[in-house]
Amino acid sequence: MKRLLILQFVVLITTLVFSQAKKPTLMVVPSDLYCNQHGYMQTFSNQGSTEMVPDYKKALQNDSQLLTAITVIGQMMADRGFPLKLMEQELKNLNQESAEDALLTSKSGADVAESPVDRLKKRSKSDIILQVTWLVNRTGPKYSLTFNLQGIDAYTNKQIAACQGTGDPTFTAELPVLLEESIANHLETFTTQLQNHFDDMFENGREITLRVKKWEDSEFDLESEFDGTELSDIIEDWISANTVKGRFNTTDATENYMYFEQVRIPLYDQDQRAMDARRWTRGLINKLKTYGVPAKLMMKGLGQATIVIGGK
Amino acid sequence: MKRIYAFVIVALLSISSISAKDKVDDNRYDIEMAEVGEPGTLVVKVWCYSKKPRVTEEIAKMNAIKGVLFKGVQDCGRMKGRKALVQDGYENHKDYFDDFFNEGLYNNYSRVALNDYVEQNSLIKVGKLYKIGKIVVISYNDLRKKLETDKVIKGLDSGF
Repeated sequence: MKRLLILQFVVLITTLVFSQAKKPTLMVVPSDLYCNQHGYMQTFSNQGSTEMVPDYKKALQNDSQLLTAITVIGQMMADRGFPLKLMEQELKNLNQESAEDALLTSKSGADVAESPVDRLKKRSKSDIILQVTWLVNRTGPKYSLTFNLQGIDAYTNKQIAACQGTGDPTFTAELPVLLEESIANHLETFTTQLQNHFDDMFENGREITLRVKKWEDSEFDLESEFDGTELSDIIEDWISANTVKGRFNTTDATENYMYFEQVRIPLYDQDQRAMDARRWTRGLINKLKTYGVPAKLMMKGLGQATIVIGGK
Repeated sequence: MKRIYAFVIVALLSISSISAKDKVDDNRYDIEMAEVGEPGTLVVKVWCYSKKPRVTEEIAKMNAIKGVLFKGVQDCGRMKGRKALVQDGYENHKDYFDDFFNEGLYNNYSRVALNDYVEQNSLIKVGKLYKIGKIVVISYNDLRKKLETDKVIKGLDSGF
């Protein structure tokens, strides 16, 4: 009995000491403005209207200044304990994976299962996007550099940190040197704001978004009643009870669709395991099950979850 | 005998008045950005106040480190300053920083550039005092890491 108690105590202490929140990933991406100004765009026709999207691969393969910016930011962020995901490697990895999946077959000859949604989701992604832009300003023979860096939460689309400024005009300094100086000059401001964002997250929980949808053939919708309470109210009550200080916003609510923003989920569950949007939403799925409502759970990274009610 | 006593007292008074004249006000300083240095370093200009138109290397370094830790570095032109590294102040870590300064650990993170050279516009007479500007190079990243390791400040990745 004593041994069992000691073992339980050791497990509890180990969990408490070593449990850590899930670390967000960061990736540097050139802004749409930068890509557009330097001709790194792809044009395609979307049902008659011409649309332009950034061609990151072209930018990464052709722009040595972009490589300098990514390297310097990466070096400084790694120094602060946040090594960056490299977009260039991510893109190469995706290509490689696609090629491997195309050739992969089981011994019985079956291909790897992949739905259209799986294919759509196979793209370069990170939890926090560091969007970088710089412009070269010329005044007579002098030129200076305006630098801008935005840290965007990929799930809430909020700007969580930013820095920008223009360096001193110069006659002689090379552009890469100006770029390095600008980053060194401004990145400390950026990391201070990022620190504030993380402090807020540790105090008030991780901010996520949640979408609730229904299958077309579902026998339930969000206005279906259970013991006199609508399903939408049951969902809202569960979210209110399971968020930090009951914080969330119901942005949209119809009989088919609900959208919750600024949902603050705890960083750890009852067993002190790190929590993300998927693990947290699993609790809602279990709650719906008690009413006989099946639901499918889909997620994106640490902070975005979608459930579709009425089936798997 | 009386004469000897009187002589000793006069001598002591004159010595103390000489040292007082040379005294630097340790707690009065200003700090601003001087240059964007090498990655991981901070080049600051620290202004010390003294009754003599000179300031020792030690005082300049100590004030520069104090400024970076507790006061923050002011912007200079288009150069962005830095917030104080220790946001909760000296008083909350009094024992730690008393040791840090008494043992001279600040020397590991700072060095004075152009020590015996007084730059143009770096010596200003303010009332009865001289305001002396010294350029100090601070190993900012190393200093921050030291404080993170010693749990004085939180690292960006702490908690993850």
